[in-house]
Amino acid sequence: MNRQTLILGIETSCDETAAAVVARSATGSGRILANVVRSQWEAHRAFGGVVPEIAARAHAECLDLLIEEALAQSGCALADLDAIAATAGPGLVGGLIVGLVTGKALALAARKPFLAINHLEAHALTIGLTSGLRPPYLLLLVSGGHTQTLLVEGVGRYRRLGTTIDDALGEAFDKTAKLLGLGQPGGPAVERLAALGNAARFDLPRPLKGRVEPHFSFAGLKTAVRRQAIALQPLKDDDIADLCASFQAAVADAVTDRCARAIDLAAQLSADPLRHFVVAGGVAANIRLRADLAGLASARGLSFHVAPVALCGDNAAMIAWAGAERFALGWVDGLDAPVRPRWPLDPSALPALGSGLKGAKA
Amino acid sequence: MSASSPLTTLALAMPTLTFDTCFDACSASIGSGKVAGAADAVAGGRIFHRFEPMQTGHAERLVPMIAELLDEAGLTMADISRIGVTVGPGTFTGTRIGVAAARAFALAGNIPVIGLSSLALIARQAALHTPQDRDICVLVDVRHGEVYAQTFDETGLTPRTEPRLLTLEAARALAASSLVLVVGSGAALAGSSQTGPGPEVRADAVYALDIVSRNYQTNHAISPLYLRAPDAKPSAANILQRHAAADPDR
Repeated sequence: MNRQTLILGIETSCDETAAAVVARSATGSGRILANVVRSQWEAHRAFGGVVPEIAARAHAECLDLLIEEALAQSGCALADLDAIAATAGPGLVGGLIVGLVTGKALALAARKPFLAINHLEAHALTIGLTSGLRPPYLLLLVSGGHTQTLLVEGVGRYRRLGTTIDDALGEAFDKTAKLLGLGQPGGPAVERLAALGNAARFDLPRPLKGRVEPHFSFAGLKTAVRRQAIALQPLKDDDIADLCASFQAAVADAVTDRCARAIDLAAQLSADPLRHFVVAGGVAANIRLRADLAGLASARGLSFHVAPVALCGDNAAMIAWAGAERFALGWVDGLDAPVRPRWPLDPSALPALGSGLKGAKA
Repeated sequence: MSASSPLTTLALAMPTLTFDTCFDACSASIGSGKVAGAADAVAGGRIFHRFEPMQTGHAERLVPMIAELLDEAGLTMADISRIGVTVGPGTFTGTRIGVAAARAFALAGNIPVIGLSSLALIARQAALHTPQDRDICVLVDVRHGEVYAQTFDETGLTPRTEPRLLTLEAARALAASSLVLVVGSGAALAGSSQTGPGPEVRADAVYALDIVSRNYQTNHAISPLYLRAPDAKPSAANILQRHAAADPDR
């Protein structure tokens, strides 16, 4: 293929409705032509978290309008596209269905190939779109729904090294923010107050630190914050800031330790020496965590990469890009492609303790 | 479609696509030209049709089903001039599947869409299967002691009420009247004491061709008709006591 390919991406796996158009050159470089995201935070605020049915209803109300907007911004008509890609999982089934059916119907109407995309793969490949980095690399994915380390060997080839045995990291930030009466989303709220607090005031646990398997855990940390907070009632401003700072320090410490283990493991598993460490997902926006992980990469002689903040959270540009990468390999999916609320990137990975009877969600 | 279909002399000037995913079946049909009875071609008119019972899997099946019908008809979506889709009430997910597909087709081809009540579709089916002179009351069992309900005239074409969510008690009161024919999966549940035939009618998109052929009003911005609110409760207030001066948004 000696020309660029144009891909429409659709994302509806959680509480962001998104559509994007991405171009991929014959040499494999990417360019975002349009990237439209509509967050639903306001709709879920009163419930203290994402309500799946409310999310699905919101996607159904606005997805086609966002696609129209993305196409208009990109200057492309549907007829100009080479393929249409939509998230098929993992995520909330009601929302996934809206995006998947919309993508399939567009593909049928416009007579274009369809690609059913794994949301985690899209996060894993984003760095190729934004900085041209090619696999192999070690990826830390930290978002509201996922926390895992993956050895990315190539498009479609992933080895899961570590995963969370309870909460996702973004979830731990959200729950801590909720406990302390801060706004949602919790990540930025906790980070903002942590900057004002004393991180040494509370001695919080670093779950799983030192363990050989590079898994993550945050439930115990969250409980420790709750216990300290209850003991301090009524809470003063300083108490809250110090709790946020101590929580963030514990998180950064634990995640850095777990990633150090993942780097050891990746070095053992890969044929070629590991050279790059990539962080993706919404929590990659946290400056303290980023700094600690950059330090780890530097100490291990790895180049360090983080996608731009706008592409760390859920978006459709990454879905379009994953679609473009797969399409370039000649991979397409049928219009009967199933919705996959549980869809691990590495099906051979053993479920981590605590991931439930049905095995790994992701 | 089956040879026993009561659909007769349907005049569809333009190729029309209809589909339904609201309940426990996935169905779609394409009709064009003047149609009589079954798959017979009258003046070049033909109907292509699928009806598949299913509890889940509509999201996987609907679009391939439409693709198959287009192939059989020798058409592409670009040839379709009008779409009729049931917008609910139904299962929340099923309702969204039909609406999402219709909105995507409309976006892709600028095709006018007619949004239909799923209960209107059932009423019209009942009227065609069981011609009689009473109003038709459609009751669909949606569990938790509730039914979706809507009443129509004897043709099933003119609604007497809006679609509503009723308790079983209210539905029983409706069904007790001998002045209405009660149909749908909730008919037995409501203790319908019909002497005449009250078939358990399941929504089938092929009958939407009949409704659409009579209705030239299109509504471009169709939305799901849910009738039930999402099952969600506001979260409990923060359990921690704050110092009076504390302000999280300082």
